Amino acid sequence: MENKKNQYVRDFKKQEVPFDIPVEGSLGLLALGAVGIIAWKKKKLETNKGTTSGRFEKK
Amino acid sequence: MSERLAKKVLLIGWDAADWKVIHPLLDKGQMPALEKLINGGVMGNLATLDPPMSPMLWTSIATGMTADKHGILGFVEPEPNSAGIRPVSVTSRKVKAIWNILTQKGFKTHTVGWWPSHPAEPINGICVSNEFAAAKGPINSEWPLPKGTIYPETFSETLSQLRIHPEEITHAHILPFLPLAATIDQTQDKGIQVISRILSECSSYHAAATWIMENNDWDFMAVYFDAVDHFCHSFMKFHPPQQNGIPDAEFEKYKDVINGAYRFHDMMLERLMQLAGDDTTIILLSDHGFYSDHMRPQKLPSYPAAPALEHSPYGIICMNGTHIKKDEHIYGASLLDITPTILTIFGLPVGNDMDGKALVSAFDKEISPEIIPSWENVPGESGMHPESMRENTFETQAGLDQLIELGYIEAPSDNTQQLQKSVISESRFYLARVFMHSRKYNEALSILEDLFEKDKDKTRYGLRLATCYQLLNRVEDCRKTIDILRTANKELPQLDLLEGTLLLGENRPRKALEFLHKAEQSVSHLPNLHLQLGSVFLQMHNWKDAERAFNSALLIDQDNAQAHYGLAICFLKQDKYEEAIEEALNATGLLYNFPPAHYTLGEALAKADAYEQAAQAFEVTIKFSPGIKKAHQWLAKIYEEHLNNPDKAAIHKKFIKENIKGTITIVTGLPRSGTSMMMQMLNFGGVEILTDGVRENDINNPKGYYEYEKVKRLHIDNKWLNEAEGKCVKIVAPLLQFLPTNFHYKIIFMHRDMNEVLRSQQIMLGKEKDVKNNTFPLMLSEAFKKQLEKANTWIKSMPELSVIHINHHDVINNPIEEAENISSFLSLDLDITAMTSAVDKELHRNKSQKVL
Repeated sequence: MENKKNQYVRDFKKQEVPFDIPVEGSLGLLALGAVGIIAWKKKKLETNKGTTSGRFEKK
Repeated sequence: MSERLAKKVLLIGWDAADWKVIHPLLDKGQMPALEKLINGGVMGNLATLDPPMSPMLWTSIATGMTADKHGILGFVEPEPNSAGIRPVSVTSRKVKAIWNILTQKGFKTHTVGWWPSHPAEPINGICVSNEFAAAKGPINSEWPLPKGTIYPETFSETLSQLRIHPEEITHAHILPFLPLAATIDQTQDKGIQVISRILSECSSYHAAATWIMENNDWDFMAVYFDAVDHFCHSFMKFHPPQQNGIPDAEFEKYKDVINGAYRFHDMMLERLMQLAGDDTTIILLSDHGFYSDHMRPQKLPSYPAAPALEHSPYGIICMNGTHIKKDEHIYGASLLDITPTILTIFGLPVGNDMDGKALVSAFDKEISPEIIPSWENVPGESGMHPESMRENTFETQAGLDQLIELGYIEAPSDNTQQLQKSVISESRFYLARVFMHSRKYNEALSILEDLFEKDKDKTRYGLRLATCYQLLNRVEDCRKTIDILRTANKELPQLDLLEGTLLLGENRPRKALEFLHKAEQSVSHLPNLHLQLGSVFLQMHNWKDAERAFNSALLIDQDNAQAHYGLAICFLKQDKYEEAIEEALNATGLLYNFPPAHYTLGEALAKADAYEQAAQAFEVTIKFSPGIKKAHQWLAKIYEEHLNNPDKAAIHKKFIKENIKGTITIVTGLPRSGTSMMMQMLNFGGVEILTDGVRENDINNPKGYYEYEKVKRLHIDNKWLNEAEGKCVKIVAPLLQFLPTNFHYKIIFMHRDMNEVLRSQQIMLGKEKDVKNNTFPLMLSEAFKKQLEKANTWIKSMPELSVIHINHHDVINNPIEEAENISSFLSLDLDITAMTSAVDKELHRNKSQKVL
């Protein structure tokens, strides 16, 4: 699964260097469209064990 | 089928995107994807339509037709079951959209988020409707797709998983827009929530579009984003430069949001461009612009759709792809041109019932689009909803109202009923505005008269009605409407502006000036007001004040093409050719389809001895407006005398001879209404008069009659009118109706008090006894009135005729003003002093004493 996710990113960047998907997401992932959102949602599921909430809160 | 110019077309809509925000970002290298698109293709302004309301505009983009034809008339519409109102839906669209035509021709076609597109149409591909992304509840609640959101439904589950809920947006998404987000008290300030909602929705549509592009074949893909518009309505007030009334703290918090929105769209664009590939023609556009500078309204009025006042009249367009020119500007594009252009790219014919044209200047080869009468009658499966689902909800509502009145259906609550009535009235008002924008003034008029009759409190309705009357030259009705509005709103400056415009149209610049100055004291920020002031001063040949007025208009809006054009005329009239050339170039650069500005540019260039460029400017003038005689005359002269091209000169001479009618100036009125005095004024002023001098001076007309014998036989023989071309001839009012239609006429219509006319005529006939007793045949007065009415009816029925009504009394009392009015009407530099010398007050006074 991880390989497939990284492949999406490689396709977009046209380079062979994979990068980590941040659990808080990024504008870059949103701009990537479906592949970015799929990758981010999977990362959140893995990290939060099923919690999808990512509500913005004061830091 | 004509040649197909691209394998695929990707149409991207950015609601409200505006070059004024984009250019600084491009300069800083902050929109690299767009820069790439522009450098490899064409860019330009895209003229919007009125009213600038997005569902109407995006439907015009998708159909190539104005809203009176496509049927989408606002943001909401009545519920067909009379239960309330609902967001405007695609079932109200009466004509085929581009994706229906492409479906019909077998092209694989997808659309995402178009407004309106719900319920999704059964096209030859995937349709994701505009109800796809909005979250109705908190993140942990159910979030089902509304019924009909996706076609085919089999894609619903996959696509619904791609949606982002606003509560999923994190600080990582927000901070690039709001670096000071942590300081915001979210219980008081909803800014973060608003950004989260907008961002989540546009990301959802983007995800759906990219998934479709990656996982399906396609020939045509359309994706629409409303986020720029939504960001702008909420945060443009904080965009730099800081506006008065915006506190420093608020400005610091929100000043980066708009730029952030555009940069995020550029990131999405990069992805779409990558997925589209090199064999795709990409069209990126917006439906209107959004004021981002000092034109931002400080306060919005409280009527429906008032936020549309923040929209500016030009959106953006970029095209990039096979057979599209590289790194060039296109001019004169309208959002009505998009569908004809896409059809042309696919090698399909354009419907003659479409209101736009293919943007052929964007292509790197000569293209002549094929035309068919209409796509509406072409049979085949187009992927529109079945007839049973498509309905005119306004007509349905009218039918239901009747059933309610008859007692067959229970009436909705008063509030609901009121809301529906309001929606129907507003939609009719928008339809009237559509008609006015399309110059279908009579169609607009019947709606506006009805709306204003029923609701005289709605000043908006009354102002449009008065403007419509003015444009139809129904001066009396316009003034009546102004009076009604003045009674209710004494201080409404738009009424003074309108009155000034009316007087300007009547060639009464001095009186117009009084009203325009009055309006200026109340609202000095209306560019249109300064344009009118400039026009008044131009009519009065007051070049310096005209220059000041046009400069004032430019202070308000530096991109006002009319103001640059006005300045070009001012400079030309003062023999400042270089300045005139610069301003005319500014005007045509801003608005290319502007023939008078090209003409002025040509004249300034010719006078500056730049004959080759002048010829180019005149050629552009006649390309847009073939009937401008002066441009052909200039071209004939330049080609013959300066560019050594007698063949081209001959073409223009021939064109003038065969296609352009000559102009005859006519002085008319009843006998003894001052027509001879007017002829003398014109003669003294420098107008060439057609007269044979057969009728000599006498005691009744000691300065001459200026008549032409053949005029008396006009109803039998009009061949002699050729002799009158370019000259002025006196024709009494009852004979006007016998004038043929093969000339342009400029009519100076003299009016005088009927009793004075009758007295003067009786004296002339030697009936001083009648005059002394003040007894005139009643029938005579009535007959003359009928003759005048008949003449006026004929004047109104003639399309190519202009008229100025001059009162004999005004000429006697204000000869300079009336002479200026006439000079302005004839567009001639007449000798005003010489004209006024023809007015003999003493003669008139004596005559009055004689008859009394």
